[in-house]
Amino acid sequence: MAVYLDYQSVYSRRKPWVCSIRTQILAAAVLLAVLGFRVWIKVESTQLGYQLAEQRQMAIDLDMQRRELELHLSVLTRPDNLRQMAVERLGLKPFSSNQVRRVFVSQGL
Amino acid sequence: MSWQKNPILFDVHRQPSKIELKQDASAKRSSRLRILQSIICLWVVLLVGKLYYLQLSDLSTWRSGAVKQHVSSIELASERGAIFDRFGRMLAVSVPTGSVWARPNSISDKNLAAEKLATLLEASKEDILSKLSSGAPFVWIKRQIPRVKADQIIKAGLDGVGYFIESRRYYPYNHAASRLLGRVGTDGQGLSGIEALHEAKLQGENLKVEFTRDGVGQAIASLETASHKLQLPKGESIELTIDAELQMIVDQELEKGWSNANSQAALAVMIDADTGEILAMSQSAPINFNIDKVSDKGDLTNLVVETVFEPGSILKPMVIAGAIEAGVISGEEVIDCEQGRFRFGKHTIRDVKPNDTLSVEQVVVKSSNIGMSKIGQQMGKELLYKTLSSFGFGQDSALNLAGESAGILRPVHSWAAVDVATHSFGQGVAITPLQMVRAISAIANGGELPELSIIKQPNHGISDRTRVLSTRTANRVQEMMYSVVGSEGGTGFRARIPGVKIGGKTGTAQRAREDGRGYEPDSYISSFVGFADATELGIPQKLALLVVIDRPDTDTIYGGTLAAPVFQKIIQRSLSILGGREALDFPDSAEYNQPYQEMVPEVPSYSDMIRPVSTNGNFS
Repeated sequence: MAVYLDYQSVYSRRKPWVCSIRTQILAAAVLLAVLGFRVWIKVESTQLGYQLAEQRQMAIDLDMQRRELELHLSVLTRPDNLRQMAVERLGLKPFSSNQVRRVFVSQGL
Repeated sequence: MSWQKNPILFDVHRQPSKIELKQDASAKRSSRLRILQSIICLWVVLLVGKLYYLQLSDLSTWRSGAVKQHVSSIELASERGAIFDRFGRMLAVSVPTGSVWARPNSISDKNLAAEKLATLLEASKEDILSKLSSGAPFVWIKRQIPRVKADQIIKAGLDGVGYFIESRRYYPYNHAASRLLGRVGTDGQGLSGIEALHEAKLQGENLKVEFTRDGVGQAIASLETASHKLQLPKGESIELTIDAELQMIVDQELEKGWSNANSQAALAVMIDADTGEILAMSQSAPINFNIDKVSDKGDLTNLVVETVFEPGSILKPMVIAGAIEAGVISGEEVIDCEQGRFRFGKHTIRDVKPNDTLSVEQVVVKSSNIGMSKIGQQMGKELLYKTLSSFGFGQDSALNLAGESAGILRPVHSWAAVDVATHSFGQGVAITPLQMVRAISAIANGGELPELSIIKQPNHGISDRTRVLSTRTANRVQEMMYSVVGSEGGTGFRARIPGVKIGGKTGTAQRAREDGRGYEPDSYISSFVGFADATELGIPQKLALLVVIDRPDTDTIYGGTLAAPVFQKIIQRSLSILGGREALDFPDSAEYNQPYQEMVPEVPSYSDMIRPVSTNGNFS
């Protein structure tokens, strides 16, 4: 003998799920909070994006300055420029060998 | 059912009951709802259809459109790598500059704009005005000016005028090793020398950076991909074996020598005789890429690398070394120099100053061609060819520099009988300056031929040498070369530096015609090649140096007169630098600048007997 299970009657007998007002408000609040958090994240990331873009531009500018300064440094420390500055600005003269005393230091020291 | 059973239906005058009215309204509302439902369903269907069209069917088109609206990309040009000398001193560096442009259509008063630009750029107003009036929608006003100056133009607030950042190559040491370093074009591409040879390495790769723009065009960097983007693209740097300080000395002294000799051209190359590292490479006339315009491609020619020339007497030490090494001579023989005239087959070999008999050392010191011919004859052509080949003549130096020549050393089977004689005193064979200075290094360092290098390599050193002579032979030839400079009557006495052992050899060769047919009348190449051993002064490096003066136009044409003093000055100043930057008190070289005695029998005319080697003719 076949047994038929009447699902409809079984389900219909279940107590229907009732969402209380409090639950609904809570759910809405959570949803709003999540959405708000996402908006806040988006706003923050955009602000950081602006700052990052600025920083990057600053990095490019500083890098360009670095390259210019390196060139200046290289020109200023060129041996002939140093020699000229030593002679003209500081009044120095090349020293002769009798002004130099060699000191030999043994390896143990 | 009959109509009579329900008479109300037929009572048209009867008022409808409340229930009936309610049912009627409900039916109407239901009908409107169905219409509304249908409209909503249709709207939803249309909406879904449109969504499908936008999101799935034609997604790429719309996505790319949106990206174009919001996302911009810029290409950050790679900073060209710098070139340093062996001590990290900057020889070439790229620096950002401003290239000023104008869109003439956006300029209302071109005359006023031209006047302001001319003042700011220190340029001709007429030139600028002609550019603005050319009718072109975009014109360059001035390229690659300092950024500070370009900023001033922006501050001036001229409509339709702006500037782009462009990189420009600067050379802090001006003309030092300029032809070796090479030139970079306006677009930042290497055109010659090291710049062209190592283009890929120096240039690096540009970096494309994407970012979002807001409604007013302000950039918003992407957080997801921003981490690496502060690392600006940069090409690799190159460290050369050049010593910038020595390079400047060589440049200065060579230019003086070139000027004093009133010559067409001059060149010098200095290497570390132990390691083969090239320390300086110079030629006249100098060129400074910072300011000089290069109109002719020939201006970029690196003579040290590309020139081949008949060396003359500076080849003699190598021939003597080969003869001693092979045991053909011991070095102690006495050679009959035939009183200055020696019949060799149908030809006559002459010395300018007749000699009776000379020792082998005196043959070198007095530069006797007859003595060398007899030694060459004893060696035979196979051994002579083998000797010259073993010193690297006829082979390129593997530096891979553009235009480098292997010189001309003809195969031994094509030699005529007289070639044995002529090759032994350096005629009929063509060499490059690099080959000569490398060969002399082998004698200077005790018999090992070093590998030349121009790019600094940590592992490059004395292990990269090939033994071509025994130490004993090398020392013997060194002694002969010391005598050339140090002995009474030596042709190279102007290269003497007290306290320093200088070995050298003078050379004065007739200049071969470019077509290979004989020699140019009254046209000579004066040279001096040598080395300095200053170990007694605490300087471990052995310097090998070649100085060549091409086509001098003065009272004298001898290598001992023109090239040796340049050698002496360069070595003296270089040793002062290398000696721990201490003062080395060398006596004034004026005492050596006494009038030159006609003691150098180096330049008899060989036009009747030598098959000259056609050089590449680009010496000047």
